[in-house]
Amino acid sequence: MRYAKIIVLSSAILSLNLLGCSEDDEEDEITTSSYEITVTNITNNQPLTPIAIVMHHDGYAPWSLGSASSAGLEVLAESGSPELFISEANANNNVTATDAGNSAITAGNSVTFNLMISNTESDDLKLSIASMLANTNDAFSGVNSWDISGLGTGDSLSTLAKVFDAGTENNDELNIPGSGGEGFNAARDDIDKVTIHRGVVTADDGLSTSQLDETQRWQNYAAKVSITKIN
Amino acid sequence: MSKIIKRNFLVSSAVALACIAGTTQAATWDVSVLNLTHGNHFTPLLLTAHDHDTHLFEVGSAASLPIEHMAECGHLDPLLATTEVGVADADTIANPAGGVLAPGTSVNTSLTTTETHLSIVAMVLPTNDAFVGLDSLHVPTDAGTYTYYLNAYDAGTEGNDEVLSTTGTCSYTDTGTMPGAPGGDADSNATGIVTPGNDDNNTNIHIHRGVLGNATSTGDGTSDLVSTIHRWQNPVAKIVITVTP
Repeated sequence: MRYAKIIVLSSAILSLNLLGCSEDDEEDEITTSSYEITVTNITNNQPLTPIAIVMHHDGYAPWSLGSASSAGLEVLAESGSPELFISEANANNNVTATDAGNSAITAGNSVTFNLMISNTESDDLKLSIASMLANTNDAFSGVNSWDISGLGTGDSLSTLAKVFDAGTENNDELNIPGSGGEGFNAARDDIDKVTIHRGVVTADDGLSTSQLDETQRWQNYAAKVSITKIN
Repeated sequence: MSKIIKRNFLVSSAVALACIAGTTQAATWDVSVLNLTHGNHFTPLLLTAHDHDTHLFEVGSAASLPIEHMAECGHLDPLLATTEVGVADADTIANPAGGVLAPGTSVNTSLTTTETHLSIVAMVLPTNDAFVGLDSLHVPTDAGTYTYYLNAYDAGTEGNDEVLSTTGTCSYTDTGTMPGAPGGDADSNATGIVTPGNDDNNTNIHIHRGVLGNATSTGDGTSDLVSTIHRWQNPVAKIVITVTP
């Protein structure tokens, strides 16, 4: 743990040098804040697709309950790819940092990210995260505009993430990405509003056409999100 | 000038005294626990006060053996034998309801403690290894009444076969049966939803996916649970803490 912190600190100083800040006197050298963010899959049997992480201010929101998903959220929730979701965030002036995982997190496992921002961006800082539940049509879990501005150096916070329905694909529990089925489809054949997901029915509970079994059911919450301000 | 310095000195000594008092003077936490489920009982509850480093359980991590005993059988003695919990005393309350806590009912208890954090656990019946839990809540120090809602967790230590024990006894080492259905509303002779003895997919503590059950009580089927009775949604418990410093 201590070793990791040293690496983060030295990379912060290195990036300052790259930015040409070497003329500043020593007191001003540390002008970045770094954060360690860990996401743990707390479902029984739903892989979480590569995590999309956005640090931002007011003026950006990854989704709005009761409103239509963005194209990026639709792709993320139907196929698991965070690419367009991250592109949309990067195009917003109120976004300060983004990151995305490389692989899915299986149930019981976690992944840790390190993000760095300029100190001038730390006021009113928010964290948003999104990830698809792989064995669904268009369910995703995440946190929306979580206020992390109160974190001091060394402080940690954690929260639990609910499961949402992107509302862009009918929940027929067929041809789902987790079983090698179809991913993204541009058609929006559901209610086209983001809602709290009602859960999956599965073949074990009477939906005989479902590709899912009872182990893939869930109740809120699907992920634990922890953040520590390293410096 | 000297007056200002003196006043500051008085203020800071008052703060110092308050800090000393805060670490040695016991607070009283009156706690009520309400079972929010419609058809599930809680086994005897354990409430314990402790420091900020202590966790009886952590979501995302493997259950300890004493937590496994609690979640699979409702047994509290293994937890009461740990150094983190210790024997039942002023700030460790075991079985405040004097038995199970029925759906829609609550129990009131009181802890007197110099500690800062509170944890609560109890098994949810009838299940294989579901438990209601509060993991290391930092209890406010200001006088007041505070409300929290708790989730049902799966200990991850036993496959959810939903088969009721026929012997009435329970051991954490058994092949995976549910120890009892206090509501008297469960089925019998089920074949099991997963092969008995199989583990959960997620063998760490996680949010319970809920029970499946069968729609009818016919003395057969894959589950001894009844889907129209024994299902729940989070949260499964409401706790209200009244702090008296």
